[in-house]
Amino acid sequence: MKTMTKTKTFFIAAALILVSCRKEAVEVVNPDRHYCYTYTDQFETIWTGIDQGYLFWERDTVDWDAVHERMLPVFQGFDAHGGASDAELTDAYQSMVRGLLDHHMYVQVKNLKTGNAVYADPAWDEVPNRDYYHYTFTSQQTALLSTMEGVSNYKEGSNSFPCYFAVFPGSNGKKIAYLRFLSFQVTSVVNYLSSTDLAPLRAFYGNGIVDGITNGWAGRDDVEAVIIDVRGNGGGMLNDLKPVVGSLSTTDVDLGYSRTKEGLGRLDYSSWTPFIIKRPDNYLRWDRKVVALVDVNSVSCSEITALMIQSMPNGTVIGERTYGATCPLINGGHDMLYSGVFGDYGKYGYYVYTSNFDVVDKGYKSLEGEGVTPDIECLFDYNALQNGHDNQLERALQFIRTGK
Amino acid sequence: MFFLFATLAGVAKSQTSDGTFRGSLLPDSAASRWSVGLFGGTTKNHHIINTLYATDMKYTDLGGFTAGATASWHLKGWFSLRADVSMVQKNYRLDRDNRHLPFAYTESTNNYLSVPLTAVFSLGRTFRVCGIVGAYADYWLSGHREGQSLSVTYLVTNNQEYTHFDEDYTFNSVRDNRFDAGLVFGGALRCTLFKKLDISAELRWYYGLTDVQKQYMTNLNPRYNTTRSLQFGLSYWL
Repeated sequence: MKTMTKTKTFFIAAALILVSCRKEAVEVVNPDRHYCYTYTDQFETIWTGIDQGYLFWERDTVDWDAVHERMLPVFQGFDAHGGASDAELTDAYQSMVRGLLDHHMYVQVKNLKTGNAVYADPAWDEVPNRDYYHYTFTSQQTALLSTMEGVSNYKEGSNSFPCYFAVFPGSNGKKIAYLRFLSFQVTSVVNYLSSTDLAPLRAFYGNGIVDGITNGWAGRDDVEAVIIDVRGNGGGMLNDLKPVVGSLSTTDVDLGYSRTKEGLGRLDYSSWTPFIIKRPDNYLRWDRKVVALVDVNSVSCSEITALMIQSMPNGTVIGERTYGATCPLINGGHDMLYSGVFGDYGKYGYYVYTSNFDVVDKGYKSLEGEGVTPDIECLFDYNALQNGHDNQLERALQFIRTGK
Repeated sequence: MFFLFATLAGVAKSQTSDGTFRGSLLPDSAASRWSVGLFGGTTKNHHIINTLYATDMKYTDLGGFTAGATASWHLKGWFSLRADVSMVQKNYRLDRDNRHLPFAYTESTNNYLSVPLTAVFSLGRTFRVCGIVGAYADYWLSGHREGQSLSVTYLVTNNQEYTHFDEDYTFNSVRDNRFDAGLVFGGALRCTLFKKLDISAELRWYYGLTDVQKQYMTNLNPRYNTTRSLQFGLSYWL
């Protein structure tokens, strides 16, 4: 019996040793709210926030652990040498985020030595290097609108909400309704801007606007096509999409799928769920051409607009491949989804703006970092603009009139 | 695990040869015999993860089933070595205790092929009380996820819209560690009928020692499964 007791004791001891073999949980701060008093602390907090909350680790090719290894000594050096200049700190953070896919992302950090804010933006290493990249020339382009051949009913909004409306001659005596606006804030500005400010929007959609197309030009029988011009449009609120873009479709618009993070692991994701934007009750009730005019400076909501119009049977996207910030986000979403925007520049001295809804098309292809490729490519022509021609708008009008 | 099994066999054999266990409580006829059988029952899995600052993520245990076949080598009346091949479910649920996401949950069903090797110590004759200790190796065969998550259309409508999902789990070769191993502890009540059949009721505790994720990031928070099972079996003495 003595040997049996020893055997049992052996097993119990072995079991107790083995059960202690589980790894301990890591210890990290909440990157959404952490007071930082050193450059190293700022770096560690921002690195951790991106490590745990960044949306694209499944596709991103940046080795984030290697970034930590490479950059930590740089920030430790800033602390050791009494600080960094704004240029040095900008370079360090730009080097940190270089290559990340997220084209919404920017990092804002307070330089502890100078008190100034510095910024880093991964898209800024990529987009300006595209061979077709150009600055926005909105004012020059819109200045031509009222002078174009056959144009009528030209209206422009105010500085409160710059937007432009015009009617162009179409084919067989029909008309083309044109609308351009520079940000997606339509459903909010209708509540407080004057009818003069909103004249272009009302001309296109009618008085309701947020109800979709009511008694505006877009719904008139003699209009054969509409053009939504989102060149240079930096995006805005997604709740514009239903009345402003969904109203151009005869059905709900199926864009593909979406997911969020579901944990603090880089690859902890929720399931893919359908991304469908319903059309409002008031919509274009018969098939007519819907054209989105886009350029490299069409960002975020503008790109989703292009995707929506591209997925409509009567939709065509004309212009240039867009910016590549196709995955939306919400401010304050970190508490909900443990991803997306984190930090508070005023309170903690850092702020990171980044996506928290991963969106792919119906074939599960992501356009983040790439942008929407137009159905008809027409690159911006600066010389044409100097000579009084908006070549991209003219290409859109030609397509509508000729079908080619 | 083979080493553990061989060691246990060696211990039992050496004890048999030196006659230390004359006080064995089972009939001598039980020694050096084999029995084979089937078992089935229920499981309850505890998914262990430290959610750190994500304090609204609440993991709770979920039930499942287990079923399999077993073979025992009765080296001595009081001691046997046992190998099972079974299907074990290790299920759990994630709820979000968050005012913005009151609807969000995920129920994960995970099917494992399990091979536990155990030493069984017995007291008694016709009715026996058994203690079980050993180790197991599992392979994560498949999974299923059902639940509700925040829909991106929340941004379009400003309403707390959610989407229901119900789908087979797609493994991620970078993230998922499909091999699981750990310790098994348990107790059983066994009863011999007609000298040829054993019926049993067992309570088992599978204590996972391998993270269900591969070490794919530096600051990886480990996740483990601890699974309890209540199973009933029928064995035949060869």
